[in-house]
Amino acid sequence: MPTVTLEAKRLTKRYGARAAVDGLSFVAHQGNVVGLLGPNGAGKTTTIRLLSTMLTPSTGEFSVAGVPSNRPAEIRRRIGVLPESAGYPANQTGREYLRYHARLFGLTRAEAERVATRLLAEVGLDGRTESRIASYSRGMRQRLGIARALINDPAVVFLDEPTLGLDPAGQRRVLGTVRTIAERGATVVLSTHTLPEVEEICTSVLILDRGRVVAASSVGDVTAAAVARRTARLRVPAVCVGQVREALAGLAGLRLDAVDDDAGALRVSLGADSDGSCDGIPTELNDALRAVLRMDVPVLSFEVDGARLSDAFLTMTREGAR
Amino acid sequence: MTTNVDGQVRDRETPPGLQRYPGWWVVAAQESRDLWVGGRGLVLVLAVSVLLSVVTYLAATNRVLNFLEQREAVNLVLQVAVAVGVLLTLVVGADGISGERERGTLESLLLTPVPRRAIGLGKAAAALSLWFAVFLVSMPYVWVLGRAISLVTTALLVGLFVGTVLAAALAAIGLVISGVSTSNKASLSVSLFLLLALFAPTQLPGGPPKGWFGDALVWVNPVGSALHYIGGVVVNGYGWTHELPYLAAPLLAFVLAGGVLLLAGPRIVRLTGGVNGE
Amino acid sequence: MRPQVLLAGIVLALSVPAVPTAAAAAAPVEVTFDRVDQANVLGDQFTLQARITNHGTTTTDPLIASLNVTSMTTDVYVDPEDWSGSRTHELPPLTPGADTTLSFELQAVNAGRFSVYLVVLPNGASSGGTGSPAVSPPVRVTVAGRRTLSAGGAFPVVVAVPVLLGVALAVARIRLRRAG
Repeated sequence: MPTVTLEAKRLTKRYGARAAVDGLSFVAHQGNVVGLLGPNGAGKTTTIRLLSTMLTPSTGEFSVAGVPSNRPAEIRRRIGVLPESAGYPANQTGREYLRYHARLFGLTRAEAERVATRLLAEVGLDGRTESRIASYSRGMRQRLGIARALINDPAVVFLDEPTLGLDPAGQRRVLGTVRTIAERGATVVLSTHTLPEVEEICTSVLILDRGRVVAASSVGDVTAAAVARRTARLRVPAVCVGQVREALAGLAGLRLDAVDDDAGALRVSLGADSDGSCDGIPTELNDALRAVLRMDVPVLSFEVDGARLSDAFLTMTREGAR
Repeated sequence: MTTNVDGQVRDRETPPGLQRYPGWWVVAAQESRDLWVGGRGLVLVLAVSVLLSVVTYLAATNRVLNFLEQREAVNLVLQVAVAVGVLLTLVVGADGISGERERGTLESLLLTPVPRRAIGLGKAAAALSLWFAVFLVSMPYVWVLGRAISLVTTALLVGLFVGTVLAAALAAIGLVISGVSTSNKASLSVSLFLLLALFAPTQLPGGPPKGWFGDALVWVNPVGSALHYIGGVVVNGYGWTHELPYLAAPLLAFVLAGGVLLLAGPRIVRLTGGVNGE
Repeated sequence: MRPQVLLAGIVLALSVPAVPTAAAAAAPVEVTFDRVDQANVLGDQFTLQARITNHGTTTTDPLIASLNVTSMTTDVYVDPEDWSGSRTHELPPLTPGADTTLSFELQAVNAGRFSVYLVVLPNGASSGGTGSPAVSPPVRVTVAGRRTLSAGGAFPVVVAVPVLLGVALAVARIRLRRAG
């Protein structure tokens, strides 16, 4: 049975009459990567600040790595955090910065030097250890921040928007680091707006809306729970649209919803009499693809809607209600 | 279980090592390093040395300087050193928490297991390093002005003692203001206004008003009474206990401000400013 | 002839008491110091004791005593307040034959040759400072100088300290630039 490393029970944070976080309850285990999602202002950063002891809950309790919330200094020894809007001292070097924070966690000078060297290499900053942070790019600062979050070998790591502002290569590198952290046994709480990231590496997801939990489960369960018609967007060369229409017209359980002949795009959706499924996911869309392929029509793209986390997100949160 | 770079296996549940040095010491050392290695502290101290050089040279070229005026010249150097030293510690203190908030570096500091009051203490100690540096720079000037009248040791000792008490008090006051201010600009403004209010009565033409009101005005003002005490020892040749009551205000300011900073540390050293809680 | 001589003698006898009275009124108060010479080094502190005696036959008015310091050379400026912070004292009336003692704490703040003397003035309702002063004999004070403060002596410090700090600052800036 995996160890429970993070547990929150009816955690609430009020600012006057407004509840930034309202009755948050969830559990995370060792090695989990929890995706923390929500629209802007949903309470993600407040949740992380509560769990990292930066803020005091109005009501409720939590425990991190077995340490209850009434021992905040002990909790801080066991967690690492990359805040959303972290700043860095411009005149310090990367090595100096990590060494300082390592010493704040109780390491000796020698230990701090070793840890700083190791972490800088792990995040790919070993060529810039003696450069001032003022000369670092945004991506380098994010990596430095992740290194700082790992300085005390934490049991739980909170990463608030770690890929914000990074190019695709930088995002991939950060996600790889997150995967490595989880593989080492730490629990990661990843707050992000980038839903494909969550789908890619998160084992569970927590969706917040207006301070409340609207979904808390595995990624698959959350997406399956979203009530959405299964549709697919099929793009073929514009000259082949007519052929494809004919091929799809006769297929049972399928309906052609929208056609954009100029762009060569068709939307295929399931009809009301569809009944095939695999693990609850309808298989009729596969028939549509097979029919198009049999005609040797080049398929430019085939994307299944309604099976993505983004659809579940929009359905469950107020952004979807707009 | 994790394996670190040295091959030691460590249970993840065990925190990595005990605190080897007090947290406040680590904070003070790094903050001082940032202040001095970066050059910011050196610029300030260089400016002080230029000012003291001008004062000393003018005193030295005065051919009719009598004994008392030499004492007054030594007193002037000490008073400039104390005034500038406490100004710098107050300003650094006033930037200590609100400045870090605005630069976004405070959160990382608060995410360590170092107690909040230890962070405050470390920052106060780093701010105090500026006072010690200013005093160190003033020593050669006091020596050159005071050696002919055998005043160097007395002047340096009284300046060091009184200046340290005053600088420590104002460093703590600056940090408290910084902690409760909602912006760095507000913190610096309030701190500088406070310093002005404390120094202004000492600069009245003809000195403070005569009588009980004037005496009270000097006595309750930690800056005014500290400077008065230094003047009594250096210029008038009083013993250290002759005007001991004038040390009450600086000592009280030190105890009160330091007490607030330590006892209310968790409410002052925090992520958000203001006085209404989180 | 004898009666005229007798009458003249009577007139003369009656007028004699007026002469000693006038003479007594001219110098009833005497002011003296406990010494006539004082040798010091610049910065020394010393105390002078002054005795004020009423040699007259009537009680004096209330008195004011004021200490003064004068340089015996013209090239030294003396501010008596620098020498002593409490130079002026008020005294109650002195009965005939009575005396009082005053102590003055002085500090030799100038080098050279000086005279220190005490002036005592009546300050009663009727006299109001207009009576004749009584002045003590001067105390000759000699103060040896030891001033070593000069522009030349201070110049090395005045220049060296800012220069050294400037060099340290330049080195710090260069190191920072390299690290950047």
